[in-house]
Amino acid sequence: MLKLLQAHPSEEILEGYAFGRLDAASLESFEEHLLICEECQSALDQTEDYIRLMKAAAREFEERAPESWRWPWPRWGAAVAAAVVCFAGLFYLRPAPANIDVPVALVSTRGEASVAHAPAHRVLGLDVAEPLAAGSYRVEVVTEAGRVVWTRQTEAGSGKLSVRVREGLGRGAYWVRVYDASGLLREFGLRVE
Amino acid sequence: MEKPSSDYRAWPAPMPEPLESSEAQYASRQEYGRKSGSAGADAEFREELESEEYAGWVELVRRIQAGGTDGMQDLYEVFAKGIRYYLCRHLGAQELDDKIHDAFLVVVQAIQRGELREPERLMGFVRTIVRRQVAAHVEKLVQNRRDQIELDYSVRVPDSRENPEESAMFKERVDLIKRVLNELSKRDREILTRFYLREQSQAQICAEMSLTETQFRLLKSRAKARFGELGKKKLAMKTLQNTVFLRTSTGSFH
Repeated sequence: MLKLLQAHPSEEILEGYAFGRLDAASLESFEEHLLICEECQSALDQTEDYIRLMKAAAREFEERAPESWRWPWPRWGAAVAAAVVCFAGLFYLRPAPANIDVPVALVSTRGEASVAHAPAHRVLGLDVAEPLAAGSYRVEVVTEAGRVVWTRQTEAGSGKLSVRVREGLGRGAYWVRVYDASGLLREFGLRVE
Repeated sequence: MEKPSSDYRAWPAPMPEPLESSEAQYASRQEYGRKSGSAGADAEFREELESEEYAGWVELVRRIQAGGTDGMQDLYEVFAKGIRYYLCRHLGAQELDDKIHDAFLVVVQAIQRGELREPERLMGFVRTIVRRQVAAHVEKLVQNRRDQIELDYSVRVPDSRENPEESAMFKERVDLIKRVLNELSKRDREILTRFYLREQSQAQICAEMSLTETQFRLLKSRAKARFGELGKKKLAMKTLQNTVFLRTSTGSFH
């Protein structure tokens, strides 16, 4: 298998590409690298995501008055509340029972209703609701930033694909991706709360 | 074999033990080059790496031209994700599999017909094919809108709008960035606003606001780090709150 031996581009190059400011030679070099480097694909996505956030925040900041930025409660009040929550959390914090699976049906139609929901830090039994041909598949759970947090090779028996995420997932939005030999086959939204 | 100098202090620093990955070897050789004061060692090793990479492409092209399926499989494994990424960025997620297949087919057929005159430039060739595919698709869309009265439902415009859940999550993260901006001085805020919102170049901002490149980079990286910090704190806080809520609501304690 071919290995990527080129150096990864710097953050300045990533930003330059995101802003459309690279010269022709740098653009060519960077896009060629991007064709075969998943790490940089992910890094570019994160860079563009950050730029979008910064734009939106800076725009809102410029449009709104500074007073609207003050916390609604005094800082000491928020600090006390945070301390109480932390103390209670530390006192009662225990690993969730790992011996009971939470079944999660994954459906790939678009829209809010089709995003699966699951509790955080529980063992999840992910079931693909659509029939798949018998065979070998790879299942990946990816964060919204594109980072793979869980992956498993598995077989679909009798047209059904099920995997068990024993480690549980932290709170957030994820994509569950199913790959066969030819590539990405299905993608499902998963919200862990 | 040349007899080494009797003064061991004149000898260059010994090379470390052979390492497995080329990347580690490159880093090691960089360090070796610096220590031995050989300015050419780094450039030389980079050339060596590039020629090794080029040799890989040449070998792959040769295997594809020979007609074996392993060559095509390797080509697909190397480029499929990158082509998918590029096409998705420019054309959206619709009908991606077909577009990837088309691009792959064009590349393989061109290689088999001997049209790739410089096999070591395989990456550049694939990039050119994919860019042309994007251009052709866009041109087709424009043509359809211009010439056809009825909509061609096979040529779809990608829907890039966020769903409500994505919008809510985005807003949450924008609020974190606003907190970061709020913590900065007015001048630092202006610098970041110029760069991200008004898209001014680093050179222009540094010149107009009397900043060095280092100061500019430091400010950007501090803001990013602070955002990451706030994000982690927020996530940790929510996790704790949820845990407390679950424990008290289920009535189960351990």
